[in-house]
Amino acid sequence: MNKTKSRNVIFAILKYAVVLTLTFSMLIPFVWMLSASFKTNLEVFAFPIQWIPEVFHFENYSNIWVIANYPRMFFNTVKLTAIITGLQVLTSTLAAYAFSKIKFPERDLLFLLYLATMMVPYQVVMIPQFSIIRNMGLSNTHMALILIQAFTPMGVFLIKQFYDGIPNELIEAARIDGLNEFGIYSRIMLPLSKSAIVSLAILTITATWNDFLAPLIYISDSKLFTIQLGLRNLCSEYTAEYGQIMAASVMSVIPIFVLYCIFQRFFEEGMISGAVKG
Amino acid sequence: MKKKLVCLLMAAALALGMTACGGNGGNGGSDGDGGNSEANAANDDQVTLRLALWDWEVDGPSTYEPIIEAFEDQNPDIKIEVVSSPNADYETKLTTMLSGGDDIDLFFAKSNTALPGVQSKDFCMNLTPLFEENKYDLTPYGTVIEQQMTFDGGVYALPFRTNDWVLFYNKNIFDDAQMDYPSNDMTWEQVGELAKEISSKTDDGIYGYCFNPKVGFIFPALAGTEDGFDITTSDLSCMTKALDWILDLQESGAMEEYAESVSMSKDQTYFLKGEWAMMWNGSWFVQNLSNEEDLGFEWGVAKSPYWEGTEKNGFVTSTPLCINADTKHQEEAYRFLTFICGEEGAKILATTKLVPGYMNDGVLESYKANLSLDESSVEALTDNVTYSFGEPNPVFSQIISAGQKEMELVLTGNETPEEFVANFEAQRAELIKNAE
Amino acid sequence: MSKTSVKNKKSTAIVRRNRRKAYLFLLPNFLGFIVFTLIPVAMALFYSFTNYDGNKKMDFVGLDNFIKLFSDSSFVISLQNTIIYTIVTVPLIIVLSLLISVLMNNGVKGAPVYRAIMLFPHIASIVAVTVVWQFLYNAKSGPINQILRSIGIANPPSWLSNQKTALLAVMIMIIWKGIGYYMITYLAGLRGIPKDQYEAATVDGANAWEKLIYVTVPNLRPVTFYATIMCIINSFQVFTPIYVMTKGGPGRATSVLVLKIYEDAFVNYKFGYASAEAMILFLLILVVTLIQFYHNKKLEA
Repeated sequence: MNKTKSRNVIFAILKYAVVLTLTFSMLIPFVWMLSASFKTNLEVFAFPIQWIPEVFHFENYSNIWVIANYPRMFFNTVKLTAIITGLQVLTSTLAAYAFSKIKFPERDLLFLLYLATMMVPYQVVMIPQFSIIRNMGLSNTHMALILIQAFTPMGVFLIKQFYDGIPNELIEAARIDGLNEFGIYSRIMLPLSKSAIVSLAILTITATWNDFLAPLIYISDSKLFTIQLGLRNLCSEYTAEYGQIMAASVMSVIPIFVLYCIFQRFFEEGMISGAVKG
Repeated sequence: MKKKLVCLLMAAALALGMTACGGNGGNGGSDGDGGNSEANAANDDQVTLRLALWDWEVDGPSTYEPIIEAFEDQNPDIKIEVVSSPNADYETKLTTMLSGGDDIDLFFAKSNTALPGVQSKDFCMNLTPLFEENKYDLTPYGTVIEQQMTFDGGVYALPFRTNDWVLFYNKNIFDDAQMDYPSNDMTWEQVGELAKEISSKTDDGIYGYCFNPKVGFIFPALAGTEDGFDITTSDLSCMTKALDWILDLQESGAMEEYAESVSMSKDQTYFLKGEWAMMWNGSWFVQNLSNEEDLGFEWGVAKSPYWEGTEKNGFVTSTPLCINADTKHQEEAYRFLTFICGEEGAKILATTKLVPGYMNDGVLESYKANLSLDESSVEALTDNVTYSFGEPNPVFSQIISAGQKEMELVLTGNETPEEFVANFEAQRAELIKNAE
Repeated sequence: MSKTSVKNKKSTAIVRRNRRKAYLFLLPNFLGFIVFTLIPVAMALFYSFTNYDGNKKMDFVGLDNFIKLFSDSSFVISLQNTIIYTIVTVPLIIVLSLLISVLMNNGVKGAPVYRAIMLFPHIASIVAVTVVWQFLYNAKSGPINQILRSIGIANPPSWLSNQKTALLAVMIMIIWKGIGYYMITYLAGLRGIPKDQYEAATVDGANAWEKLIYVTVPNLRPVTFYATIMCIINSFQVFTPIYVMTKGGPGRATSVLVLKIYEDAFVNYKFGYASAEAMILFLLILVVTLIQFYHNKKLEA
């Protein structure tokens, strides 16, 4: 009896030790980043690490705010994220409704097409996509990023999965009651799928906010830079300003972290529903 | 019912189109996008020329703005719109814009070494017919036109400025060590000895010699190891001389380890901080040094070192300005090109302590007068002879880039100079073969 | 006879009406999908058989690009690095996230907080995270090496500037960033394991370890399978951390497939050649996806 008890205690200690160590190691780089963002260049690499700086150098933030033209980058990124997410949610929910709730002959075939292209990695289509955008005269515009990111099959797939779970009887009943298809979509399907929509929106927001490769390919003019591009650029230009670079990094992650703290449940649901894919 | 549905969807599609246009409008107008030139063409009064360059945020106010303003004052019918990309990505971004149908009218090539790549893609307008038509005199540009801007008998760019690579030194460090300043006639070997002596006589944390720790700033030293060197055809083993020299300096502690300076993202600012006694850099650095308000030390310039046994050649690069072959405003673009790279532009540029591509007695005097440097330094910055990477070709920049990557391996201690030669030669052969 | 024809007529009318409705709903997304996904997929295949230079030249060159690929040492090295990267990171991420999720599911106080924190690296922008790690890895004065030195390791590795450790350094960061996401996936899977199986195992006298091996792991097999596939596919596509951290260096030590595709396409403007490289990436992913597909079929059967 005692033996199992002590073994349980050891197991519990071990368990907490592992969980806490891992949690800490996940957190430490962020804490280091935050702490360094308030330090002078010399203090950043001082050892032993002083986690709480003696003097908080808030000027790192105000300097980088001006140098990198942060407000403009921030505006660009917010604008792109909002438009892409809006379009993605709108067109995905519409298309998913057709795939899930309207019977038409080519339905399975078309959906298979959507599914098949989901296997194709972005890196395969990025070259022809670039040619197309270029021929439309849209390279080096935000429009390019909007067009290539707002109509991905992934969103349709996620929402369709959810719609499939809504009983058809409900739709039939509504049709008999004289509601037209758009009415069913807007008054029944949308309200019922709120959580799926929020999950999709959050997935899209995070992906767009953090996207690097597509802006890297399309955006040349530094007036049109997104935060991620700007941050990378900062590291190669204002190279030796360690504190300021850390301040810029902090500012680039904070909006998503705030969103995460508010919508944690939907973040996780989005990830898991993404996991059903395939 | 069906009609209603159609209407609603139409509305949705319309809304979609509008948000999309809204997205476009946000960066249209002043920021510009693909549709800009049409809008401007409709407006007869003023033509907007789109000019691509790098680092406007950094160089714009000090270098370009005064010239562009002067041009716009004289040519009220033309407005210059700058499209700026970051320094590090400029070459990639420029190609993207030019091949991407972005209606750039004029663009700077990153340096003369980048020009062949751009020219071979037919992005640059052949300027010779325009020069002949306007009887434009090219003699004030000296040999640069022939050496760096001419392809198959056609001139494809004008040099906005030239950059003589020279040795910058911190006078205070030399004074403290009670040593003579570097002279205008030194070999790299002598510079190495000097660097070691300085390092031994000064405090920790001060290095006798340093390169700007980016491959592009070190690689030219390797190409100077043999007279008439051509990176496409020469035997590369001559380069080991330079590599051995660098490794020796690193080992002796007279130069900071390359890996360390890179990982600390060090650059020319470390000279500004007074931590490096000598540094080989382009003549644009004169401007940076002069703009620094409280530098805390005196500095001077010496002519570029050369390798023992070679002619006393320095390294000179230039910044070419080209007209996009597809421009819709050829006449206006030509006017701007010959202004900014011509005498008027040169006069303004000389006051900013940069070396204009256009040189005559007046400009030279103005440049010298504005330098406010000692005599020996002024001498170091003028009348330099140059070597190059050799004859340009379509894989020129790829060969250079492969060489730079291999060089980095040597400097970080991952490879010996001999391995460098073997690997670089293999890759060069592969690049040339695959290009065929 | 006449009755059925009326019925047929009626049903074709319904089909036609449904079809019209369906396409109206599909239209906005479908247009974008066709132009920016479907057509590019076809074009990519076509490009890979040409010498398209992104500008004017475009001739059909048959299999030339694919033949050239394997004598292109940069491509071969990039492919090798991608495979090494995948082989090392995937198992570690999967095993670690499985273990941690099992522990977390085992009545840890404050689990929601830990879980939330562990997702931070996944959610944070890869550029920001990479920039921070670049500082952490600094050979001389970075915190990692300072700590290693203070615990008595005189010559800690110089991480990103050494050809031998650079890829390892990137992999460590990726594992750190990836664990949280797969842990969430596993936690969802764990919730689906029926309690009575554990109870039965307890009755049989199984200890914690045996329960893990005989109950948990087998029940999680579909999740593990899915997670592994996703992780492999993501590994094949790694780009941003490498581009920001090392640009493939030192030398070509951290050059990976997507970096090579990016450079050939948008730096060297060899669209045809880069498309051929992209096709190899696609083939790799296709193989993995097909394995998953047949596996699912087998599960369903």
